Amino acid sequence: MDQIFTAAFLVPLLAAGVRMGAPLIFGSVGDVLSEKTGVMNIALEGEMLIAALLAFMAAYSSGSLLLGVLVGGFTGLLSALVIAFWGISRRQDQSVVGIMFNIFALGFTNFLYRATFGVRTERASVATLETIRIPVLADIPYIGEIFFQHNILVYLAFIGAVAVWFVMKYTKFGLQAAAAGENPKAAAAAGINVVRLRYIGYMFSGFMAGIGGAFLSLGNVGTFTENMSSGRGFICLAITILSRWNPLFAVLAAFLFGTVEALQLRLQAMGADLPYQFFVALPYIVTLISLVIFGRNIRAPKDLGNAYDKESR
Amino acid sequence: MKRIKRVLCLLLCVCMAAMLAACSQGEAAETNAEGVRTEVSRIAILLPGYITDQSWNQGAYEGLKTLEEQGYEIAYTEDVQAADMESTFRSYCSEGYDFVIGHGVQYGDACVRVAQDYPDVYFFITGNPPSGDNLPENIAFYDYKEYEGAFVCGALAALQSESGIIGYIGGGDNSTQASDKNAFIEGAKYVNPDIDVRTVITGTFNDSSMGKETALAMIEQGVDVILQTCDETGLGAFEACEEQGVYCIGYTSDQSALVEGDLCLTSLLVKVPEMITSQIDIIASGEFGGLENPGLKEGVIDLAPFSSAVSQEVQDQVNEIAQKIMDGEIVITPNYNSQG
Repeated sequence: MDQIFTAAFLVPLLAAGVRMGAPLIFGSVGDVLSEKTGVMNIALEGEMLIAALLAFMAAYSSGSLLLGVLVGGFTGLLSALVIAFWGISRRQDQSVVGIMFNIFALGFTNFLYRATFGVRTERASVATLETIRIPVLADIPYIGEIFFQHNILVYLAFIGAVAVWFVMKYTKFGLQAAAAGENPKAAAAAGINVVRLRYIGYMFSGFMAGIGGAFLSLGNVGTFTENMSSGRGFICLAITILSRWNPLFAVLAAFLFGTVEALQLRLQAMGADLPYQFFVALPYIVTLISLVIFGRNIRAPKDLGNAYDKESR
Repeated sequence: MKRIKRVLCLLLCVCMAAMLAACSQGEAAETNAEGVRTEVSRIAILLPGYITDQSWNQGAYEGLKTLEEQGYEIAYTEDVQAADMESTFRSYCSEGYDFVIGHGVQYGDACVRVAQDYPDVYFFITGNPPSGDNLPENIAFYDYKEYEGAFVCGALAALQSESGIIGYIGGGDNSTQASDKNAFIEGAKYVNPDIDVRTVITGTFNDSSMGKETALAMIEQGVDVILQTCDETGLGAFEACEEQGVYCIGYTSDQSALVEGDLCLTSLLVKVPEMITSQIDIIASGEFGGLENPGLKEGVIDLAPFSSAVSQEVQDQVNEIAQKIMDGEIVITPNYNSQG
């Protein structure tokens, strides 16, 4: 216990929490907007995975990490476009289409990775994104090390969350998006193009998930490993609910999850006398408990998950 | 019109049934004619992960490729988890594969259930048999002593460490992983009773990002040599070691090329390809079946060449320990309890 409540333990722990939470912020903030317009992005996991691979391939062949990140984002966006076509225009069940896409993504990335790099003993890799110290802020004791010594994508995640929050709360677009997710018929009657809004929401969510995927391959590991998203997309869906569709709370929830994950690794290493399964499950247990505590009176967008049919009554 | 459709439907059904019957008859005839076979031609393998993991699964894939070059027909299924084990075994058997391999101790139970129904098919499990008597005779188990290698790695890590704190990253909970972990600790204490060993089980073999964070967490706590036995998760751990300039030890194949410079001290080699290819000769000799326990002495477990960071003195000490294990001077009792 004495070891835990020291700055030497807590500061790196929280910094790791920020690092591990960043891809979750991307995924869940995008999903918040998408769900506000009424479409659930079950395919986050698959979008992340495909983007992680294509971002890595672009960075590897061009030598530019920036290009890689952009390719990651647009890969997510295009994947989302395909799913949106089925889920919104063709009015198929959004969950079914999303799950199908996740299964497709796993097979597709494994295939593409092997077709490009082959099965060989040396591994293709790129340098990871550099750590950027924010001047002045990075020198604040403790806080600086926790929040202001990360790669650029971590800052982008925070900026993105604030931007989405602002757009949702203070702009006409944000209100219209919420209307499309609450009562699309009334929104349409008021002259809002519901289908267009849902496309925008969904594709933005895909774009964000894509950047989150690029964070895994380019920001953290510097290479692609098969199935490297490892369920993070699904955690993002839980975070969306936990955050009550508020991007700022989504940041907090992602940070909580990342920190508990970082904590369980450290507790295990310190030799706590409990089965390792307890530690591995800990982040999920904490998420569940927080859902129980903060999930009361939770209210999802009313038309979430339903297909909008202009011609129906 | 409706009636015609119905008749057509029925006709199609009959056709399909006839075809199915014809198929199964064909196979049955083939095996009956040959009697007890000492030769196999079609080999299939069930893998717990992906063939690009630079490790456990890739080793099996390489063995399989060697056999393909020798003219065998091969097939493999990746990422076969508990729910799909039995059905995957069964589908390979019914497709006429005559040598089916479950690559990992976790496939034991499913294999035993299937093997009873297909007495003509040879099965091979790279791990120890499940508890219980009456194991079918057409399964061979290879309970290689990977922990002997882990013991030597533990000794090496302890000798190489300057901080006196070393780390082990495991992937999951099975007897191989647990005995590795415990032998690693035992080996480290053998050369330095005061050594502090930090262990983490990540619970995943294919989350490289998690592997990196695990290694970073350990390095924070002063760990300066890390052994990982968790395939793709371990690749992330290497990334952290490279970033922080910390020594690491590879797993299954010689992984020194994956880490910059001389940081990868050595690798705990499990000669997976040889393990699989050698089974063909064993089948041919008619001595297939039962449980084998190869280890350092038999060459199934080995260490890769040391990197230049390991001094000659340390190399000699480590080799001496390995020799003592081979000579039976050091006897390691495997401890399969993951709580150690």
